[in-house]
Amino acid sequence: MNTSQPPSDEHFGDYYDGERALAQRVAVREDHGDYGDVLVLDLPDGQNVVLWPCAAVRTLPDQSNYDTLTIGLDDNTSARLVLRDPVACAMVARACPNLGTPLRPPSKWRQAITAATVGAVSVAALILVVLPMLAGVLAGFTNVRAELKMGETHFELTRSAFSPSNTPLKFCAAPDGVAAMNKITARIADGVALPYPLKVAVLDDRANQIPNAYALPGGYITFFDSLIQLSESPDEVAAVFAHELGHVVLDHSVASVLERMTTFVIVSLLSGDFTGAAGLGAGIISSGYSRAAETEADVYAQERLTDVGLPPAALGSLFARMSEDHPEVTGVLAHLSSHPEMAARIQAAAAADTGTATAPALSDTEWQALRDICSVVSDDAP
Amino acid sequence: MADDTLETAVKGARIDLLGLVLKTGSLMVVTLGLYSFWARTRLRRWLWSSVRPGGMPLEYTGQPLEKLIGFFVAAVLLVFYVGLVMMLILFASLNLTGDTTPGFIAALALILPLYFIAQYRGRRYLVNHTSWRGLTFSMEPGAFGYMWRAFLYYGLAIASLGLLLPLATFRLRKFMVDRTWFGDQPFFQSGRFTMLYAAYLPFLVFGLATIGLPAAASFNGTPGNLGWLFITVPGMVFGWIYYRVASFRMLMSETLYSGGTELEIHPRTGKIIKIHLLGNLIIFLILSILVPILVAMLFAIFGALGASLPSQDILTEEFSLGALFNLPEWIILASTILIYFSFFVLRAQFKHVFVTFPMLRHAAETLLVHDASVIAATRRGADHHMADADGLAGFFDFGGGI
Repeated sequence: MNTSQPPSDEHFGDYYDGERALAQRVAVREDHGDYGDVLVLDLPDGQNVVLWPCAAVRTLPDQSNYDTLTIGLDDNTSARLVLRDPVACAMVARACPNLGTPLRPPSKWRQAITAATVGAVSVAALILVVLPMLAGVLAGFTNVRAELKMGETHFELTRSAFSPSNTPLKFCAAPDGVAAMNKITARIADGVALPYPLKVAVLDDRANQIPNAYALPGGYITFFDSLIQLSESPDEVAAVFAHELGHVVLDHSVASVLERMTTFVIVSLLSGDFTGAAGLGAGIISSGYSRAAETEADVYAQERLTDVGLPPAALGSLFARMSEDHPEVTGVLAHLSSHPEMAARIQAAAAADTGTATAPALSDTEWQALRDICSVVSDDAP
Repeated sequence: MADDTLETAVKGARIDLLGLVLKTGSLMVVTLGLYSFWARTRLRRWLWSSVRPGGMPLEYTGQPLEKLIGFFVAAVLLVFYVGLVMMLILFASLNLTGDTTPGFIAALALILPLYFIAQYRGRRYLVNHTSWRGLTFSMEPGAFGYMWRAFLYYGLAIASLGLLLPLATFRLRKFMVDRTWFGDQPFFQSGRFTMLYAAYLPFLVFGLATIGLPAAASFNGTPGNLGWLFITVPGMVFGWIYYRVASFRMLMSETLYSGGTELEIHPRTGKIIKIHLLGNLIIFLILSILVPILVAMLFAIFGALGASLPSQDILTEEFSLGALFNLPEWIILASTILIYFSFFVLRAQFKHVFVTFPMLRHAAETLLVHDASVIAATRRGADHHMADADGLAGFFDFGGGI
């Protein structure tokens, strides 16, 4: 071994061998002898030395490095040398060409990429496929009395929520109009087996128009008067009713409540945020669910209308008019809209029309009575 | 001081830490959060290396990719468990009561076991990835045992109107400490839970006064003087912080290593409150200067970008930033989200520099290790490695934020 280095060039450091917590004061010097370029650590017993190949010496990364230098070997062992003497640090820096490379254990990129791929696919499958499926199955087993109670609560909530004033929206109750509406619903719902009676209502929204209709759990189907005013024929009102009946028959309302609440909590937990951003994320996913539900209800309506001899294209013509009044949102925000792109739905409705329509939904007189249904309003369902 | 007592030094310049967190914070923003696994690892390496019992720095050996793997494993388990449990409970609640609200609350309560499991696993991951003098600390598995004990003891604490909280504090800490090792030698938590009542007394007195005074007043039928609450409520807050700090001090002083070595630590409540208040004030001041500058810069970029594009002829009667700057709305939306995200990242990063590190420094500088000669005889012990990292813990905020 080359021992030509004079003792004055020796510098000291604390050496830990990785097997014991014992601190050993070692003299550190560089040597270029038979072993190649090495750091020689003279152990305090005065006899044994430890040789560190210079090329394998690395610094620990991201250290606070205040007046010390901690180094180790690139061999996955935990032996460490702590230097405080600036001259010793400079000597090691000169002798060890790879000192600047951080000391790292073997990389886990392969496992990480596998975990990320499998994880992302599993999470997506759970949220987008498994949970909606489970919600659909569970919704079918919902106890009728519970569903009716939930529907009643939600119906009263919506009557208040859509009202611009403090009083809930009133029912439109002109007897001839109600009779006309009953004629439409009886024709379309004829032979449809439901565990509860349908509760069809028209609400007076003349103070603040919301041209729309909605279905709630327990067989509640509600029209706003402005939708009837927007319709140009009774067939269009019938088509909307068939669409909402689809939501009722397919248990969409209960499933959607289960899905939305679950998704909200999952997205909140995953993002660590129980506020706005999570709500937005959950909204994007939920609108995905309801887009699927809207399409299902459209298909149901097309079949139902064809069966009872009404034109499915009427659904499309009403959608087309709604699009003119409310040009649909496209681009990024379209994902937040719960109705699938109108154009596609209009096309589907037209395509389903095989021209087999028989008698129109209402006579001209009955149609006029339906349009005037809000000439009498009431606080209670007619 | 006895010869074989180790003192602890904390060495590190805050300006270096600031440089590190600004660099990792920027990378987090640019990678939309993906870099956070690396950012957290690098921050911990720096903080650990600043703490030097007996002059030898601690070393953090956790890996970013372990954390990434842990995140995905935990995400799948979480979505599976929460999704299934939530939906079944909501369904049951709907069928029994006709309303989903009770089920929603019950389901949120079922996330609590996950919280305790994550707490133990998070701690275990940190311990298992800390080494000193060339040897690793380690902690045995025990998350489920910890979870049900946490339910039991916190349940007792609630049932006793808070009187038994020190029992919960003591038993849960003992559960963790008695499973912790350095090399081949174990730690042991000695003492009794009753010793913590001295630390708990101020909180208890102020708590009783806060509830008791209005109750006594309403019992007498007189509109009591609620002005007392201005003293008792801040007193409760102070009492709580004092309890956290003083109980930690007491429990650490009753922590033994390898049967002989004793620890001692002296963090002070007043100093810790001061660090928090001052640190948050500094962060508030920095952000209140930085955020307007960032927004102004963004608007300048919008202006320049919009002027370089042909007029979009955006027909709208309503005011919108897109119309104002002659830019598509999605650019405005994306930039707004990015600014929002940057704000939270910056705030968290500044917190490491102005709160976490000063707290760590204050506490660690008072750490003494008595009868340290025992330590030199310690050898390498069994590894209790955790390859999947603290994925679950990442979903909960444990206050430390590191």
